[in-house]
Amino acid sequence: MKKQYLAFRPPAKVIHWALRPGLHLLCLITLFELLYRAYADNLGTNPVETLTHVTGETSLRLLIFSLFITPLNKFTGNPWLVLFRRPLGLYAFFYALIHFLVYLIFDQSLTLAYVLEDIADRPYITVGFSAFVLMIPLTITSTKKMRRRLAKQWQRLHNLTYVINLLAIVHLTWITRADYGEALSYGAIFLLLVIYKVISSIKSFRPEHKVTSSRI
Amino acid sequence: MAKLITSAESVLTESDVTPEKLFLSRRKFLRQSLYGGSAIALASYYPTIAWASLPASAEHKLQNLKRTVTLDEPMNSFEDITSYNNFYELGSSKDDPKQHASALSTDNWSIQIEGECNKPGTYTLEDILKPHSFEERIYRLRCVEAWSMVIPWLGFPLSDLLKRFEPTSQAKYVAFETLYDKNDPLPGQTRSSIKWPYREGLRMDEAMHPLTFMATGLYGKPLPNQNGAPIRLVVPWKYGFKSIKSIVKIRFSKTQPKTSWNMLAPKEYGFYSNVNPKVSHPRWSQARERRIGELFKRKTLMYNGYEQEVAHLYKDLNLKKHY
Repeated sequence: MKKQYLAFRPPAKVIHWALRPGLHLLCLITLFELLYRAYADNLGTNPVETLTHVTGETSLRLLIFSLFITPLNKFTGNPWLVLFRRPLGLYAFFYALIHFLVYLIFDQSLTLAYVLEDIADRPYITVGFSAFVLMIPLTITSTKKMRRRLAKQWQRLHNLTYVINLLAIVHLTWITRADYGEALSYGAIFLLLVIYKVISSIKSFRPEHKVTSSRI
Repeated sequence: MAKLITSAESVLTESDVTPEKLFLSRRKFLRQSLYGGSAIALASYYPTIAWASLPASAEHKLQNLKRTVTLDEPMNSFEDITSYNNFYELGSSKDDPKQHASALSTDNWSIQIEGECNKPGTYTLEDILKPHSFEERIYRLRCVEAWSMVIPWLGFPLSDLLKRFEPTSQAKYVAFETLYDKNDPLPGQTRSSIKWPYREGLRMDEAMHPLTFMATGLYGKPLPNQNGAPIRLVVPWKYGFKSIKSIVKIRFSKTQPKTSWNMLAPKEYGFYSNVNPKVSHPRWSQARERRIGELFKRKTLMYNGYEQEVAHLYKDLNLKKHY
């Protein structure tokens, strides 16, 4: 499975001084763009809707990118890629937080009663809100310290990312009125990731796989 | 290209429209200059609006109109009204219709009149418009997606048009259809998101109600294509999707006609679809709405604020059941 010719390891300095800051910059571009557009009064006819759509979409995309890291590592043999998984997940939470705050402040006028009614009455809100809430424990336990402390439990907990991703896609599908093209494409990509996850976890149960993997 | 009609005195005062338009295009110019080269910026500085091509006899009617229905709420700008549209024939995003507006050709438009009436047939747009005197009406438009606008429509009451075809006593409903050419679909019609053509309908008494309006223009100009050129329905107390755009067919019918959103999701969109803050919708709370131009939501009014005028139409109807 491993394509060794695709494997390479950039020098630690390059990762530290170029690739990591580059990733942060990439993840922050959307935020900068939105801030600039808000400043330039260029968020469109319905600025609140633009903020909601863009932050929601960015969060979902980052979540999907974070899930791509492991398969990408396995296919290309580049374990250093794993360094990028945590920032991707954290930025996904960051945009989900803005998404939620925009909803809370502008759509629901910071009124708890409206929010609770919305969560109860509208399935897409129920699902989206659940995804957001599930991201909180993952964010809290994302530090190295917590990872060490939770040991085996950590991986199990962080497999919730798949559940969150599924909920986010259901959230998007449920708000779609008629044109499901976008929701379907996210769904298709997510399905590929799930298939990979299932296959790889079946394989990791097989003893012979353990032998080969211990050779690295 | 753009047929500019000087706005009528009664529609807008000079100070109302000119500075705003100039201001908006200046802003757009600045924006575009930041994004692209100055050549692109210059090109987009000039108006690229695809307007309805109305018969010459009708165009002059859009001038010096009397404002017959008004509101003491500020109107949305021409820019807002023509840049943020739900018109799935031209694409499913809010900015698609404006972008794809030129794909809709309104030349040689005609409307087919069918069903329970004495004068069925195919009427050219000129025939349709000829006998009517036009007026301006400022209506709220409330979208089912919980946003709203205030729009100065130009046109004439639907009842005046329908009477000309002499509907029979069998005519209990009126059905409408939007343009759809299977062999030459509009950009959004290549996707089967909705079963084309788009269909809408009204009960006869709703159609004959004095507030029910046929619009051929807004802000003193013919309808831009993205707003449903060359002729569309406006029913101000119902959710926006009832106000069908770019009409090519009107049919008088004995039975309740099928309507597009109801066919797609009957639990979400009823035949009546009257604006009702008390009937919740699975996607959007209908209790409040965002007026375009405002950041926070405001309370939605029963029948979109036209309760006095229309409540009597539904006095025997269970509104929770007939949403």
